Amino acid sequence: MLAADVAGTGRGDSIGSYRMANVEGKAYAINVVTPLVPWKAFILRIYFWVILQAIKLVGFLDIPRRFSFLASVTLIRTQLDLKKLSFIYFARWTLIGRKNFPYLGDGQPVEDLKYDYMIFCSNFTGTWDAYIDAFSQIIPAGIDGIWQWTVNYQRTQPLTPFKKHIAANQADTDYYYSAYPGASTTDVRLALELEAKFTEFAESALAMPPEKFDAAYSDFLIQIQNNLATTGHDVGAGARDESISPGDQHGCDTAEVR
Amino acid sequence: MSPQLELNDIQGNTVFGYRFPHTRYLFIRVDRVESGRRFLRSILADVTTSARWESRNGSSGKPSSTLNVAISYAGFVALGLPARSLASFPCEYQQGMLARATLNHDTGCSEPSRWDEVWRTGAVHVLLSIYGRDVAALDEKTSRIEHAIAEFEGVSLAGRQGAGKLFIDGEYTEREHFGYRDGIGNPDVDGTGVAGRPGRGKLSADGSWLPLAAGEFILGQPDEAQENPIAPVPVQLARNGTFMVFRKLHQNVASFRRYLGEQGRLYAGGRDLLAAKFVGRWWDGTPLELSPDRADPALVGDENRNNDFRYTVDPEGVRCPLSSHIRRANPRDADGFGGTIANRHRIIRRGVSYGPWTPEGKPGDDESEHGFIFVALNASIERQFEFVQQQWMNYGNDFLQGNDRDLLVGTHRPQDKMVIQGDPARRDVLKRPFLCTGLPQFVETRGGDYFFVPGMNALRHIANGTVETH
Amino acid sequence: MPNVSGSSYGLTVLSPIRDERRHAPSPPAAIRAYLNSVGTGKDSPLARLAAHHFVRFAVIDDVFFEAYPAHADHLRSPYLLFTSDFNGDLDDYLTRFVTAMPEFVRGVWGNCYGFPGTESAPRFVEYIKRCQITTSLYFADNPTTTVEQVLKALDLQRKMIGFIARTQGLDAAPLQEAFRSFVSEVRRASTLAPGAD
Repeated sequence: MLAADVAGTGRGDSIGSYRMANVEGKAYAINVVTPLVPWKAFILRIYFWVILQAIKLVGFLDIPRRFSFLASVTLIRTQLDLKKLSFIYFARWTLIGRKNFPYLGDGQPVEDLKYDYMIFCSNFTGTWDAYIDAFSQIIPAGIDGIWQWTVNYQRTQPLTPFKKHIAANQADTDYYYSAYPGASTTDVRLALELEAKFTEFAESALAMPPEKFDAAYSDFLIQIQNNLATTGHDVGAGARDESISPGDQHGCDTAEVR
Repeated sequence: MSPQLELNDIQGNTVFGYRFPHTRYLFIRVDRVESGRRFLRSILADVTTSARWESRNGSSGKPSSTLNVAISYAGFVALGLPARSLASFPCEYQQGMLARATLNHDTGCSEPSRWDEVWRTGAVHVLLSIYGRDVAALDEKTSRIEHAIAEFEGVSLAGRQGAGKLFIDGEYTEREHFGYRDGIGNPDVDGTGVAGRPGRGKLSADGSWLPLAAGEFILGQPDEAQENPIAPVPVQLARNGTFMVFRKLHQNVASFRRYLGEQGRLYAGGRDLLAAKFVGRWWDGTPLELSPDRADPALVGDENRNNDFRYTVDPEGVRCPLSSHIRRANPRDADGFGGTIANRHRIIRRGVSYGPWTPEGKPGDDESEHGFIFVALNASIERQFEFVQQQWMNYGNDFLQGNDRDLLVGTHRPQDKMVIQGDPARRDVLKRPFLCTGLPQFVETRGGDYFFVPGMNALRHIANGTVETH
Repeated sequence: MPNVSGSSYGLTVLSPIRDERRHAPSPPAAIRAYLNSVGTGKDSPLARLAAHHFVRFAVIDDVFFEAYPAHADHLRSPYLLFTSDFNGDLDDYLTRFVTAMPEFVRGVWGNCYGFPGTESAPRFVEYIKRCQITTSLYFADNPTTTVEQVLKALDLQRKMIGFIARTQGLDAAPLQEAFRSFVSEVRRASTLAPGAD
C-alpha cells in the first residue's frame, strides 16, 4: 500500500475475476477491524458517549481557549484538526459487542467470540500513506485516545510499526461508489463556498450600471479566486492520463497513454 | 559546533553541495560481478566524501575534480549483492524510474519511448558523477576511469552526459535555461556542524528556523518522525547512504519564451512580474513573499535573508501564488500545522544545467539539447521526491487548485490552468485573478533512474563483495 | 443520535453470509464476483439514487488475529459490510434503494442468511435494520449538504472557470452582458450526474 501505488491506481487491476476496490476516483474507502477486550470496549463506549455530549453542548467550532484541555480529552481538538486537514468526507466508528453480531437465524451458527470489535470506516481523499501519516503526525493523541483500548494496540508513534498495524487490520473494500468521484473533500468545500458567493453576487449584480458592476465583479472575483479548483477523475497516473500538449508548439507527437 | 554526522563516511555533494562549474556523468554498465567489483575497487581511492576541504600551506584544499558513485537496483544485482539485501530495498527503488513512469506523470511528451536510449534500456548500473574546476580536470578524471574500465572485461561505458553552470555574459551563473536563478532553498541538515540559515530548515514553535533531522536524508539517522528511516539490510550497507533521483529534463525554451511573451502582454503586471509569479521568485531569485513588487539584489545576495519567509502571512497567495513552483515544492507553514507535513517531503537538490544558454531576447528553440539534470537526494524516494512529483507538482489539491499542475514542470492536459491571484488592495485590473490557460509542455523527461549513494564503508564492502546478511 | 450528523446518516450494516463449507460455490466468492461484474461510477446501479454520497461493500472473511498475547478469535460466518452516507430518513432511503435496483440487491444479498428477497420493500427494510449496527461516532465534513447540492456546486465551479477565462480583459458593458447570459445558463439544469467524473 505504497503512496504511489494508491495514488496511481484508479481502481485496481480488474483483469480476472477479482479486484480490490479501495479507490474510486479521488476517494479511498478504508475499513479497519480491531478486537477489544469487553471491559475496555465498555470504557470506549462511555468515551464515545462523552465525545457526543461534548459536541452537542459546546458545538464544533466554538471552543474557548481555557477549555483546551477539555477540548483535547473530548476529541474536539482532533475534530477541528481533521476539518483543517480537509481530507475526510465521512468517517464512522462502530462498536459491536461479541454477542451482538447480527443474528438472522435461518441456519446461521451463533457466534462465539472472545472479543468485542470496532469497525472504523472512512471515506477520504488522498493516498493511504498521507492519511496514516496525518494520523501519526498531526492527531496522534486523538487517534490513540480511541484505539488505545484495542488489543495489542500499536501507538501512532513511531510511524512505521503503526502503518504495519493498520495494514494488518485493514479489510479491503470490494465495491466502492462515490457520487462525485472527481472531487476531493477540498474540491467539494470550495465548490459549495463558490456557489454561496455566486448566488449572493448574481442577485445584486445584474441590476447595477456597468461601471458599478465592473467594480463589484472585481470584489466577487477576489473572494472566489481560490475556489476555482479544476475537478474530474483524471488525476493519478493509473487513470487515463492523456497528456496532450498543443502539438504545434514544440513538435512533440501527442501520445495517448494507457 | 561539531558535526555528529560522519562526514568522511558520507559521500560528497550530499549534505554540502559542490561548487564547480563543470560536471560530467558517466554511465557504467556491469556484465560480470567480479569485473564490476574490481572496477569499483580501482576507483575507490578517488571517491570524494563530505569531509570539509581544509586549507593547508596556502592552498585552499579544494581538489581540481571530485568523483562520486551511485548504484541502481539493477546495478546491485549486477554487482552480486546478496539476495536478502536486494529484497530489502524499498519497492520504488527496486522498480526503478522507468517502471514508475506513469505514476510519476512521465507520460505524453515525457514518456519513456522518448527517453535517451541509455535510460530506456535500463543500462545504467553505476552512475559516476565528476565535478571539475575546468574541462581539463574533467577530462583527466574521465580518462583515468576509462582506463580502469578498459582493464576489466565485463564493465563498459554505456554513455555519458555533460553538464555545467550556464555561462552568461562572461561568467558562470546559477541560472537555468528559462532564465531563473536556481538553487536557493536547499534544506539545512542537522549534525553537519555548520550553522543553518533562516528559511531552509523547519519552523519551530517560537518562529525560529531549525535544521531538519538528518534521517530525512541520511540513512541510519533519526528522521522527523523520530524513527530511523526504512533502510536496506545489513546496517553497514545502509548506514550513511542516501537515495538519489536522477532525471534528465529537457526544457522547451522557445515555447516558454513565447508563452511568457504572449501572456506577459495580457497580464497587467507585465512580463517580469508574471515570470516571477510562475515560480515564486523574480529572475534573480528574490522571493515574492519578501519583495512582491520588484527584484531586490541586496536581499537576494544575503543568504540570511533570501529564504527567510513564511506563507501563513499570505494565505490567499496574493504575493506568491498558491500554485507557484517554490510554494508547491515546499509549502512551509501553509499546511496549517506549522510545516509539520512539509518537513516530511523535503529533498536536497544537486542538479546542474546542460546545453548552451540561449541569449536574452532570442526566441530560442525547443529542439536543441538543453535542459536540466535534476538530482534529488532523500532517505525515501517514495515519501519525498515521488510525493512532491505526484501530489504537489502534478496535482493541486493541497493548494486549493484541484487538478491543476505546476506550470513549469507539470505534465499538462488541455484543460490545465494556473491562477495568478488578484490583490484586494489594488483598484486596477490587478485586483482580479488572472488565469493562464492553454499551457504548453515546458519540461519533458528524457531519462533518468533511481540510485543508491552508499557510504564509504558500505562502498568498500560492495566493491569487495563482502556484504553479508543473516 | 449517533448515526446522524446534521441531515447526514451514517448507515453501517453487517449481514451474515451463508457458510461456505456447506454451500458451493463459496458464497463470499460469489458476492465478490458479482460486485466485480457490476459497473462503477455513473454506470453503477447505485447512481440511480441521488441520496447517497458514498457506498461501500466489503466481505469480512474473518476477524484479524493480533498475535500473542491476544487470543485467536474466529467468526463462524463471514459478514458483508455495507456502509452508506446519505441524507434523509433511513426507512425512506432503504425503500427507495430496493425499489431502484432490485437485481443489484439480490445479487449482493442473495447469499445472506435471512434475506427476504426484493418483492416487499418493507421486508427488505426490516431485514437491513436487523443487520444494522449503531454507529458510535460519526464525522461528516458537510453534515447538511446533499448530493444534489454538491453536484450543482461542482458544475457551477467548472462553468465559472470557463467564464472567467473567456471574459478576461473584457470591458465593463460587454462583461456584464456576458455575465447575464452566464447566469441564465447556470440556472438551467445541472449537467453533472451522480457518479460521473
